This record gives sequence, C-alpha cells and structure tokens, in this order.
Amino acid sequence: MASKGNLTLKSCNGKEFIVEEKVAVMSTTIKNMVDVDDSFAQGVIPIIGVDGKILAKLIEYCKEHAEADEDEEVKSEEYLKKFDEKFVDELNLNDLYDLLKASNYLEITKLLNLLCQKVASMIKGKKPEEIRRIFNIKNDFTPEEEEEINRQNPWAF
Amino acid sequence: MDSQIAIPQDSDLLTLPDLPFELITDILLRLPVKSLLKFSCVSKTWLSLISSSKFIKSHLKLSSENKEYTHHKLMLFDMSYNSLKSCSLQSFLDAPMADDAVTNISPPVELPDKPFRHDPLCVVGSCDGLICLDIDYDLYLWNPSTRKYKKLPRTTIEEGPEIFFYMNCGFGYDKSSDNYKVVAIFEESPAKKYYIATQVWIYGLKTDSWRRIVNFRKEVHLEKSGKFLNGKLHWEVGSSVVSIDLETEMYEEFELSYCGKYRFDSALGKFEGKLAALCSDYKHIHLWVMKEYGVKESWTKIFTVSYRIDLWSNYCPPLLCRRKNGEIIVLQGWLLMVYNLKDDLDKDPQVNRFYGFIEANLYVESLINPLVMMD
Repeated sequence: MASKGNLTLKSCNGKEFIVEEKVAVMSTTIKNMVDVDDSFAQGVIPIIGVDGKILAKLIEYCKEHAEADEDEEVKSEEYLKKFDEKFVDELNLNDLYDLLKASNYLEITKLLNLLCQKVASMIKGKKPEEIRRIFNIKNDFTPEEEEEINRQNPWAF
Repeated sequence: MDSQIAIPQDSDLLTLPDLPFELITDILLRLPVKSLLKFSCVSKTWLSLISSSKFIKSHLKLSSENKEYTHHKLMLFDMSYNSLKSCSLQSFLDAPMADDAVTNISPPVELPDKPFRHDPLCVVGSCDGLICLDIDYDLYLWNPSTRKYKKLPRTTIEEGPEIFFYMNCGFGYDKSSDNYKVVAIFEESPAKKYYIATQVWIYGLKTDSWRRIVNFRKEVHLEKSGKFLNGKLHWEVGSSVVSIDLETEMYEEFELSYCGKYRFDSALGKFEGKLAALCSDYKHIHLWVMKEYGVKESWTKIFTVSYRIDLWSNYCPPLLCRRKNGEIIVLQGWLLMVYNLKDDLDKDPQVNRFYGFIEANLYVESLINPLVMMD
C-alpha cells in the first residue's frame, strides 16, 4: 500500500511501482484517473498494455522532469536537455516503439514530443518505400498517380 | 584485441507498425518541408493529411515556435552573382558561410540582368514561410521551401510620362480573415523636390486584387519596407513609427522616444517577437526594444556598443535574434555581429563580413501555398 502522496502503478505483467504523485501525474491519463476516482489514489492503478520494463523507463523520465519542474535551480534547462538527449539515444528500437505507444496512451506530452522528434530525425532522409516499410503502409496509388505527385516536386527527391 | 563488427544503422531496422494515426501525424509535424513533399506519395491518406490546411497550419506553428531555430532559414541576395542563396540559420550561426551550408536557390523568375532602374530584386518581407519579392517592379508571393509562387497583378495606378511613382511595400498576414496582404505606398515627387505619399493600395491574396485605401501621412519618403508585427505593418517616419492594421486598415502613430534628440540613424527590426530599433548616434550603437507594444515609455535598451563606421550598415533592415547562450546576433546586410551582453561597452563585438550580400531575410520553412488560399 502506498503511503500518502505516493501512488502505486501496476504494469500489465504484474510489476508494481510506488511513485510520488507529482511524478505519476506527469501522465494526463493517470492524473484524470486520480482526479475522477479517489480509490485509485488509495489503491493500485493498472497501466494496461505497458510492461514493467517500459513502465520503469517512463517513471525514470517523469521523475527527472517532475523534480525539474519543482526546482529549477537544481535541474536547469540545460541539464534536462542533456538528460533528454541521453535518454533517447540509449533506447533500442523496440523500446522506442513501445515507449512511443505508451507515452501516447498515458499522455505524457513532453516525452511524446521528444520521441516524435527522435523518430522524425530518423526518417527525414528516407525514401517513400522505406517509409511504407517502417509504418507498414500499403501504397494505394497507381504507378501513374505516384509519378504525377512526384513530378510536382522533383527536387525534393 | 577487440574486433569491430559492422552494426547496421539503427534507422535501417526501424519498424513502427500500426501506430495510431494521430501519433503518425505528431511525427510528421516535426519533419522538414522537403521530407513532407517527398512523403506525399506514401499513400492517399498521407497525401491528404500533408495537404490539409489544418496540418499545414499546425506544422507552421510548431516550426515557428521552435527555439532551436531548426526550421528557420536565411535568404541571402548575392549581388556579385545576381543570385539568391539559402542557408539554415542554425548552421549559419555555428559556422557562417561554410560552403556546404549554403545552397543556391532559383527565384520564381530569372532576375533581370540589365542596367537597372533600381535593384533587380528587393525582398519586401517574409511571413509564415512566404516571401514577398519585388523583381523589376513586379511583386511575387513566393514559398522558397515548396518553390510555389504567385505573381501579383499590378495596381491600376496610372503612371504618365510626367509622373513617376516610387513604390514602398509591406507584407503581412491578417488573422481575422486568414488572408495574406500587401500594402503598397506610392510616392511621387512633384518638381523633383520632395516625395509625397499620394496613394495607398492594399492587396489581398484571397481576392487576388488591389484596392485603394485612405492615404498615409503625406510628407514622407519611406526608404525601408514595412515591418510586420502584431497584425500591423510599421514604417519609420522621422521620429515616429506609423503603423497600419491589416484587419481594420486604420493608421496609428507612436513616438520613437529613444536616444533623445541625438538620434541620427536607425532601422526597425523585430527582436523576440517585439518591435525593436537598432540605432546609432555616431558615438554608440544601441539596440532598443519596445517591451509593451504601443507604449512609448516601454522602450528598453538591450545593449550599447561603441560606434565604428564599419559596424554600421543602414542599407537593409537588421535581423535580430538571441542565441541560447544569451549572445545577441545582429545581421545587417553583409555584417554579422555577435554581442555578448556580459562584455563592457568598449569591447568590440565579434564581427564577420560577407561582402556582396545586400539582403538577408529570415524565414521559416512552411507548406503554405500561395496558389491555394485556405478556408
């Protein structure tokens, strides 16, 4: 049982994490749950579809940022920028994918922005066919239609 | 001994299947314009997303607000080669004029290569990624990032053999009607003695037409293009600033009560979203910022350095920005100056010169299409 000011988060594979409330409510989804239903604040909050490894990563990120929001002296903007850079650089591709989905579901806006930026920088130089592979998208243009679209901006390729 | 194994690039193995569409949108909003144009052919859904006005506006907003200036570019006019060059602001600040950072960019039409009546090209201003160009008396709204442009019709002002009009323009955006507008002030010089502003015309991209409006203050000659800020265009007139609101078409005037009566020379600019004036009394150069728009008491001095003749180039409007480390960048024509606020007054700023460039304009890369006005 979490003590006052703390919340218990439970991953989909049964791992429990006790975290300070200010850290947990970096997630808008969790904040809404706690605000609406007081029982969540006392008991265990199930985090559906997020396993223990990813939840630990999310908590690591939120902890740094929650502390920085509270005390700018200790954790400056520059410190956070370095932390963010290191955080995304150390992610493997599976974790990047899982974190992206989890931070979207949990609405952790800052982290979501950071991860979207990371993906954007990874894909910006790709070719359209590589993009289709990455996102698993079917090309529904006829070759003629595709050529016509490309003809409008030949210099972009 | 350690053996090195070639590891494939991370991004070659990247797979992100079945992401919610809003998440894909969030990712695409962070891409440069060139990548977005390239990815328009990924699928029909992506094409309609990337061409939607909602996406274009969100992309513009995110790019404009980016504090790292990732999507900001400089447009430089190279007089010696009669050509336009583009360069990312970030790389320009890191290594000014490194060869790989500067690319040639073709203007919408070939620049006139003949004895000019005036400069072959004048950049009126930039707004939301569109640049308003005056090329040999024709005006263009041009998006250099997508290379789309619109040639503006001419006004129906009558120019006779006796009357020669001098045209000064300003370019901006009217939020209330979601319309890009150009204001042209025509001056004539009767008896070739002085200029008087005789006619003011306004152009709206949505209607693609000019309309004559109430006159500007008459007894003025305007040398620099109008500066767009807060929905208004601003011109320096003597010791005042005259502005016109692009929505209401009303004029306003406020004093430039800085530097007292010793003010000799100045140029309006924009600094961190606020009206700014770089001015010189031939002893010092000061940067002033109007902290509260329209309140003359709120003019605040940001820095002062000793005047040197080679530090002053009043020919074109200054570009001003602050780097993350607090240094202030002033780019004026061929002069790039870096001011460190911690330095004392007599320490000369760090200066780089790029002779041959007479225009430098900042723009943000956007997908705004001057040929398709959005609802």
